[in-house]
Amino acid sequence: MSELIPFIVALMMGLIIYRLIHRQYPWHEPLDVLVSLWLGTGVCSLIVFYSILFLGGFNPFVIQLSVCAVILLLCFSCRLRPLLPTRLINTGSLGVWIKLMPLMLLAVILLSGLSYYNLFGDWDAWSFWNFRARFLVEAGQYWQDIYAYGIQAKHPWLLPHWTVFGWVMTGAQSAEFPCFSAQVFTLMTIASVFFAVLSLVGQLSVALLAALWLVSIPYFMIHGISQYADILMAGLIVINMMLLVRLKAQPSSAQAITLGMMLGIMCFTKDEGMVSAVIMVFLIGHVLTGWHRKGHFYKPFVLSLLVIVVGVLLQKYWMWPAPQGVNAISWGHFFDYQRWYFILAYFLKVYTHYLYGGIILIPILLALTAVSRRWDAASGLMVRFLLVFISVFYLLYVLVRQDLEWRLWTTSYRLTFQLLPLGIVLLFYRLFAKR
Amino acid sequence: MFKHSWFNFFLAAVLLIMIAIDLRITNGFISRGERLFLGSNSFPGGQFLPLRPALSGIRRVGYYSDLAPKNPDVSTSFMFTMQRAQFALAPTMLDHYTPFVHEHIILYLKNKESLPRILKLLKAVVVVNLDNRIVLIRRILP
Repeated sequence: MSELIPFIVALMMGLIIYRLIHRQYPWHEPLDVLVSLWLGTGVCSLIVFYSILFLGGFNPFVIQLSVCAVILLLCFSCRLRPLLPTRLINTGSLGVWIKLMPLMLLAVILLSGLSYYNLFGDWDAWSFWNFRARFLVEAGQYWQDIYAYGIQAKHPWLLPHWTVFGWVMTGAQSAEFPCFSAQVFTLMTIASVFFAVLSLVGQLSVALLAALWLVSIPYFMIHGISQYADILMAGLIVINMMLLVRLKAQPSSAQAITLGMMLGIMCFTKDEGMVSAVIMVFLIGHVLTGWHRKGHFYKPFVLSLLVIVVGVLLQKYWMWPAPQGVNAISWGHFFDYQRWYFILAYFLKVYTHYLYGGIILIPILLALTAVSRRWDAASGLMVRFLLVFISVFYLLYVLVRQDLEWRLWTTSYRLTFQLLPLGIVLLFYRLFAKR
Repeated sequence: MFKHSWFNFFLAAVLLIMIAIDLRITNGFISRGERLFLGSNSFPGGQFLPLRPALSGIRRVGYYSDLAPKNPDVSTSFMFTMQRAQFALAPTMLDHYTPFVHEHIILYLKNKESLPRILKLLKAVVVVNLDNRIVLIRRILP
């Protein structure tokens, strides 16, 4: 179980960062423990990125040293308070974790079973994500070759850097770590959905039902072990949306910093993460009324966002300056109504497949609740995000120059995967929240 | 724990369906179409690994295959093999756009008989030959 070590280190780092921002550890709020883990994952990946950038190549000792130094520095900033409180987790929170355990155990069994057939992941796992990690470790001083000659090297690099971090911490360049990572990220996404529904609806049974539906979708579990960055995106979208919802109820500088860093990490994960982050930044304008004008929000938010995004921009525009032709578009396609229809028909056909576990019900039931129930702030935020995200990518599909069917075949299921957990959270909130 | 009986029923139904479908997948009792979702446990590009010692220290080589020479980007079989080779041979980068500008070229040949013709055409010699199918050649530069 040495594969757990990187996650423990990331959680420790995330907890200390959280403590530094919020002046308390997040034990009372399970969702914040997950936020800490995501934060730690992002920061550890950034440490790998900067160590390679500044040292001109991969050096495991320096990465280990840097991680230790950052943890010590953060501990010192927290005035060396103990990481664990007297009571590890307060009774209520611990009880919720325990009630989630049977479901998580079931998910672990299913994910392990699926991984047994898929140790190296799907196509993009070995052709992009894990290949990049492997290259960074083996290329030495020529590590920049992958930016110069690699296919689609402009995609953000959190996942490869996380894999490198994992290899450093486990001491071996194994196929098992990326496989294990994918499983843990999928579990984190399932837990995020559970805690999001629980915090919004307040009923344990409803939260369990939502998480259970996610686990029961074969396509979700199969893609969950693909070792793609979509897994991280799916979890981050849910977590960041919950942070946004919380910002509406309890605006504070600490929430602003946390959200800023998490959006930065989302930008570092995938190009879709950048789109999501931009949409969420616009949504913040709707969330805050008055309080933000005092500058309490925007200064810490922008600063914390920039801390992470600088690395993304460096990697995206300085290290790989060549133009990317893959997503070339044609505005002439905009008036081709057949393309609009074809895309809709394609998604309908996909969503009605039994492997997708009845997710076609999500838009149908949401449409029904749109008529029968009022939209409150939280569901308004979620539905705005989903509508804008879907509209952006629908338009891209319409305009893309490449063969449309091939494009849909290779990307539609990934976009679906990224939005599915949030879709479930929104649906359960709409159906079961007490007014 | 659950206040409503229909909740229990729904949960049980979902659970049963999930177990039925997922166990069916994990046991491999699935159709060929569904199987496309899943990968395999063989090392990607494992058949190219014997070329690694000969490529040590070489940063970039050409990659040519007779699977889809006209438009490699849209050929699934071409890209599948090339990218698996790329994974196995990292950190040597493979160039499939302009393979013949490089001193070293990896050939992945479906037609084994085409090797002598390619060698003659490119004025190259064989460095590593794996059954005339996977071949590392070196061009004799003037």
